[in-house]
Amino acid sequence: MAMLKRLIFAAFIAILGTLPLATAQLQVVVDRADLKPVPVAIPNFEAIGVDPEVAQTISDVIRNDLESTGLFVITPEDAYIQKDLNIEVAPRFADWKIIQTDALVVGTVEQIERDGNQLIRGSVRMWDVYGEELMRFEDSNGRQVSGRRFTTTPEDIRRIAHKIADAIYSRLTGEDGYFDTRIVYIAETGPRNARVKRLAIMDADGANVKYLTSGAFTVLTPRFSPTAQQITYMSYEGGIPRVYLYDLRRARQEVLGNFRNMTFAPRFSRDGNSVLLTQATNGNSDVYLMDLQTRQSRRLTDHPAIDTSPSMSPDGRQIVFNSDRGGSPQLYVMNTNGTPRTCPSGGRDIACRITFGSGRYSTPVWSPRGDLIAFTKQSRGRFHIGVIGIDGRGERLLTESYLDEGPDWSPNGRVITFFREPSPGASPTLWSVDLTGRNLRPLLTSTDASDPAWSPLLD
Amino acid sequence: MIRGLPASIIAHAAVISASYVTFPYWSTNTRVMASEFEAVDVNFAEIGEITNIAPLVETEPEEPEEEVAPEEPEEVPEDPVEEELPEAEQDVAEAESAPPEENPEDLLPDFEPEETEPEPEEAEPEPVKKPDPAPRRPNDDLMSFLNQSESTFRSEQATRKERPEPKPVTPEPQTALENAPKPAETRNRQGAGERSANSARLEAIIVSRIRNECWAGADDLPNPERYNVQMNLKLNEDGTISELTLIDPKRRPIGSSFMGTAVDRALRAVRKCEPYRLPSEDYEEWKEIDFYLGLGFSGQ
Repeated sequence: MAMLKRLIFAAFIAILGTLPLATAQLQVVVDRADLKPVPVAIPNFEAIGVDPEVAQTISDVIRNDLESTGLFVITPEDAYIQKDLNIEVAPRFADWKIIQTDALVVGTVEQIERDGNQLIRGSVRMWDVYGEELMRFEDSNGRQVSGRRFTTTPEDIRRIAHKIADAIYSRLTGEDGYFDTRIVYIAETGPRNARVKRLAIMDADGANVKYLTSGAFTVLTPRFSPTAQQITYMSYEGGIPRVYLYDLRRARQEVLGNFRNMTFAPRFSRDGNSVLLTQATNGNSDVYLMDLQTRQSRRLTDHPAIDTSPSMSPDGRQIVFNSDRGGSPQLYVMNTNGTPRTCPSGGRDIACRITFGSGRYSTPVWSPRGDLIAFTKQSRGRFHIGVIGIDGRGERLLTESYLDEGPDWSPNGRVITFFREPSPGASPTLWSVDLTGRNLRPLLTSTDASDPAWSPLLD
Repeated sequence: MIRGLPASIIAHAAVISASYVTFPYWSTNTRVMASEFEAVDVNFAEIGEITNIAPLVETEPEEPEEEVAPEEPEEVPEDPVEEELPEAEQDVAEAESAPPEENPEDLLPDFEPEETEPEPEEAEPEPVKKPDPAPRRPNDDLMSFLNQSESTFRSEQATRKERPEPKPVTPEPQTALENAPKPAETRNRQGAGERSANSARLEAIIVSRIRNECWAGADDLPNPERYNVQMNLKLNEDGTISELTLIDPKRRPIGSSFMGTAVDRALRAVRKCEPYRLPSEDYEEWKEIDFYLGLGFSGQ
């Protein structure tokens, strides 16, 4: 009998563990909500010993950076009730709740002298209006700090703004920002039958455009190193299309590798130590991996079909590429070391096809987050930028137009940039779209532009 | 073998009865599911309008002389010209910079308002405990415990059978408020079933407000089903918050992280919806609320 009771007791205790907590109070479950832009107020930073225009510029750039993401809506200045803000004093939260601002950014811009140099210093704090508390930042060393402060020369005040915008973005979204970055692209000028294509670089918000090549030779498909200020691209200099490496710090370019044949479609590995590229030999294209230190290359694919546009996973263990080995251009994933793998569609193979939809897939790019692959898809006469899981599941088309092509990820894997020709013969322009398909917007450039590629966050 | 048979039968019977007892918990859902709402498609073009995306900062006009030969080193700054403060100065006066008038230690996990006090009602029962008149044998305790448990379970089962299913969530808070029971109706309400239906109505009102007005959700985070937040909210009779406690996670992760963002958004949502304008005659039902925000709670 005692044994029986123990048995029942044990069963009872086991059952108790499976029960939800017995609570008497009301329970409210909300599993999803419509994504709403976060209202953020960014009053003009206080100018201390500097031209108010400088503070105004920094404030404007921060607001523009954040609003451009589509994740934030900037509270208009004429809605402010409290005007007497001070970075060292807590705001009157009630005044900001009335105008339904979630976060309040307060900052100063001042001129300081250091080692005989006149510098500009920007400081910022952010307040959680409804929580009525300071929102702490994480500094570049991972420490929790009550505010951020950046110092630079007067010529680079925009970078102060981008740094501050990145800090705010990171604090509010949980991921790194991408404002203090650059975008390299192909600047196109001249008539279509005599197009001049130059390598150009600009800040991520379109400012500070510079040209890196003269236009004497056509250049295509620039790609930024994810770890260094280096660009790899294809140039027709010398008559044969070859992959080049451009070092931005030294402003020097060099042919990459000693390939006898045409090389194209380069892309850095995630660690920046090697470059994936395609070499065409007698009409057959295969993917190679070149070590940038030893300059030794290794052939990764060996197939009579056209294998091209390789991109490496963040951990370096896999690559995705485009191949017509199945009859039409589709995306394939393989291990970088060439070992067989179990394919999502069944069976084991060296390379596994991951796209099976109608249409032609090309220019795959592995997300820095590692979970998605962006691609160009041509279907029924229209082009799309889309994303798909690395196992081939969850394909989503984010854009559609006459010609959308050449996607590349922002360094945080949140935004995709690409170029678009809206109609036959129309000028190509740069665009960006959020990973979710929201916030499609143009990136304004002073010339026609194509083949954008995002830099990593600047130091 | 023969002796084992009765034991096996008893064990099976225990498991089956356990299932009989616990299945109602799993199948009866007293919570209102936000997933009952139709998802609203958000067209990115509309979002663009909503967010009023301003045109990008104008690029500088192209100047021929800006064209730089590849060899020119000044095309791109050699080094990052932006200079971050030295470590000691990076923190904008971490100690002294905290606003002098409030919260010298502004740690995010501290969500309890200053006036929060432990409820005396919950603290009282302990002193009321009476000492046992005589020591009891463990088996007596066990039998008593089992008997009480059986009684409790039977009672709970009977209650659950009578409890109606929660009504679908009403999309508009105003409508929900209009549909809320009138004081004259609620005053005479009796029975667990009716009480449950009323709870569902209250829950629908709150869900609708949180979802439509106060919470931004977590769908934009990678793997959003991982970022779920449970909170406990105590309300004053006027609908203002008297205490908000983070239950799971117990505190906001320090630094920038997706979980931290999910916690920020959840806490902000509950605070933003204050005051909770709910029928005052039902205060006993809504004076304390458990909030579950996150995709991971879908279907619960």
